[in-house]
Amino acid sequence: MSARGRTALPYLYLLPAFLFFVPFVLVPFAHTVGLSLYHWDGLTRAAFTGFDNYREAFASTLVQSAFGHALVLIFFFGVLPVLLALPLAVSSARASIPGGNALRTLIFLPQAIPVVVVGVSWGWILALDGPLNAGLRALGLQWAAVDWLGSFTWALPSLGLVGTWTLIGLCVTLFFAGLQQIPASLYDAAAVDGAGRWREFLAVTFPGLKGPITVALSVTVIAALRTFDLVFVTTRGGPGIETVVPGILIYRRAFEDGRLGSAAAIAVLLSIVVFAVTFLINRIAERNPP
Amino acid sequence: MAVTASARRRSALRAVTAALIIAGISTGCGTDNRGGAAAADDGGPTLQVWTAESASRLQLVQQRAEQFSTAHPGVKVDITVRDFGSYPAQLKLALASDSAPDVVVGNLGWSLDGPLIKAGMLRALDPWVARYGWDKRFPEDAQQQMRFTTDGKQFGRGAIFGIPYAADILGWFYNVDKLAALNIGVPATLDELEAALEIARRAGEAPIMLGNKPQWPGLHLFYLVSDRLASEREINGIVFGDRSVQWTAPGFVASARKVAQWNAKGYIAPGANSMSPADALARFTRGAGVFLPAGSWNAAELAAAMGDNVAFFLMPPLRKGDVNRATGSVGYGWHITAASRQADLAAEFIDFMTQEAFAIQLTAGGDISPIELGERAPPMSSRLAREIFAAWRSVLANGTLQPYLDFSAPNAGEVLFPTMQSIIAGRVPAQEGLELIEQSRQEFLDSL
Repeated sequence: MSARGRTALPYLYLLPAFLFFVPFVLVPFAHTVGLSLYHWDGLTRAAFTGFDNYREAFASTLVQSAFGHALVLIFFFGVLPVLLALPLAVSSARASIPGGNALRTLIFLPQAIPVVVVGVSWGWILALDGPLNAGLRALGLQWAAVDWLGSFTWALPSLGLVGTWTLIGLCVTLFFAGLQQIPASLYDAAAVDGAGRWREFLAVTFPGLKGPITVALSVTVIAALRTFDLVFVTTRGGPGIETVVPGILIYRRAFEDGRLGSAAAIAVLLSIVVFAVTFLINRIAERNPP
Repeated sequence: MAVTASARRRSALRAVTAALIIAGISTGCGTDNRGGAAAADDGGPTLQVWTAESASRLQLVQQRAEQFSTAHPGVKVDITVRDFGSYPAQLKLALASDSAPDVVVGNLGWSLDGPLIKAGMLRALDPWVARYGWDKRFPEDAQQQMRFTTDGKQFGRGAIFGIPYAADILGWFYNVDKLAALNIGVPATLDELEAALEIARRAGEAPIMLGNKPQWPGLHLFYLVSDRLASEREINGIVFGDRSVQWTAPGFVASARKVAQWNAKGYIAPGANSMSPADALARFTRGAGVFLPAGSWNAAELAAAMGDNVAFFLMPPLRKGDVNRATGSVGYGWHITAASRQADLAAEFIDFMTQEAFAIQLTAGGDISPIELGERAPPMSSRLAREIFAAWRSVLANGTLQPYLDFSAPNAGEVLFPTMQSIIAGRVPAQEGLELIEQSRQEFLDSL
């Protein structure tokens, strides 16, 4: 094989994926970027306005709030599920609990439910006279029973916790799979060295899970940033603007207000944030190899 | 009625669609080609008609369209029905496609009609208005909601672009038994209404049942108050783009403060912000709440569930016996598209669909019509239908119909609704919130 053939070969392997990637991802994205430079109502001739839409987006307190809310959701959709899933996965993998598989299936189940169903169900659970508040009242905690999704204070954290509930199963499953990959010999070695549970976790388990944690964080953080369906079904951005997220603004501007350029600009900004955050997560993981 | 209906009919299913649309947001614009109307295979003309109606109104429209076909042998009417929520987006695509429909319903003001007229997609109906006497069929208040300047930049004046066929009005529904039990009469003034709310609260009742999750119902409560505290000039000025009038006018500030005050006093049922209007209505029918501030489109459902235990009054005036102004609209109008190649036939269809015969069918079903039927009204099935008809009749007769303030700009969902919800909740001071709303309106007017 010639030298030239050798250099071309890897690209040839990429070709099928690339052929799919270009028309369905790259071209639409380029189109969105182009659209974001215009004022366009979807009907009349579009007017080129340079970076006007971006300037407006940066100056708008509403857009800032939306991205701020998305950052809050990163904590609930990403950080919290990972922190909660770690002990769950580790304990269930190490100790053979009777019915452990059934338990893991149950924890994963929220992932299998359509978000719309999740939203409707939680809307009912969190209602002022819903089961959660009924439980609180039964425990004598009347003061804690609030209109969770209608409260200017609690709506966003409530939605966040619904996200936590949904995504924790995904994290547990990823971590559980990761734990199976850690050679038992490492645990034996740790035991021989006299490592306790905590030491063993820090020296063997956590480094071994670095890959799955990176994947889990990437997936959940993207889920947090692009949230739309859960908000649309449960609060629609309210009360006030307390749960408005970028996806809601993009939808409204593109399909209700006829401001497609502005919607595209926010979509591009959102994409940039998604790229940046996932890049950061992967960079941190690479810098600290297991 | 724009927003009202839209939020009402949005289903969970639609959220999924929306999510998919978001996912594919980048996939661009429609084509610019304009095609003509379709002809039926057997040679006779086919009118392509688009509507977003549903339930009983849709049935009546379909029935009437069939009668049109019967009266015009060889003419076919092909009705396309789309879910209200996604209608504007789908209609815009259809109008920009090669097979644009001939006749479409729009939606008032800047919610839909305005953008379509500005884009040159709908026809001014001048040539047919005189021929069919449409300008004499409806009162001027109704006609004004269908007027636009031909450049599509001014709402409320200029040519008639649409012909209405149904109507709606905002007011107070109340639980008859509860009012009697509380020993309150039907309030005849705003003060009496406020006194009634206080009596209901002291008796441990929820005075006002409200499902404000989609954020527009709170605005409708605000309209009921601003119909009293803001002037006709202020309301029309906001809606029809008069820059000398602003949302920060004293009447609007006072109205917003009053509604916020009602909320602070505990007049609005707890949990309103997370409750859907349908849920609030269902609770009201089951005996929760004394008053339900809402639109006439709820009448059929309420009467079916509560019989004669539900009744209706318009927002009472400041002084006993004063003329009542009330917020309402003539629904959506029938429009002829610019792309239609059979505009005369389309006009004939619109005329048929908006005649008094249709108004009578509509009224018999408990709905209201933009035509003043007066004594020619058919018998109505419920006490509620009769009261709403009487209220509507008085507003038409007095010329005191006020347009919905959210017709003033297309982005009500982004600024007006949430800000008003924040004002009502006491999270944002009335003056400050209204400044924000006005700023957004100015930005829209500047963009025209």
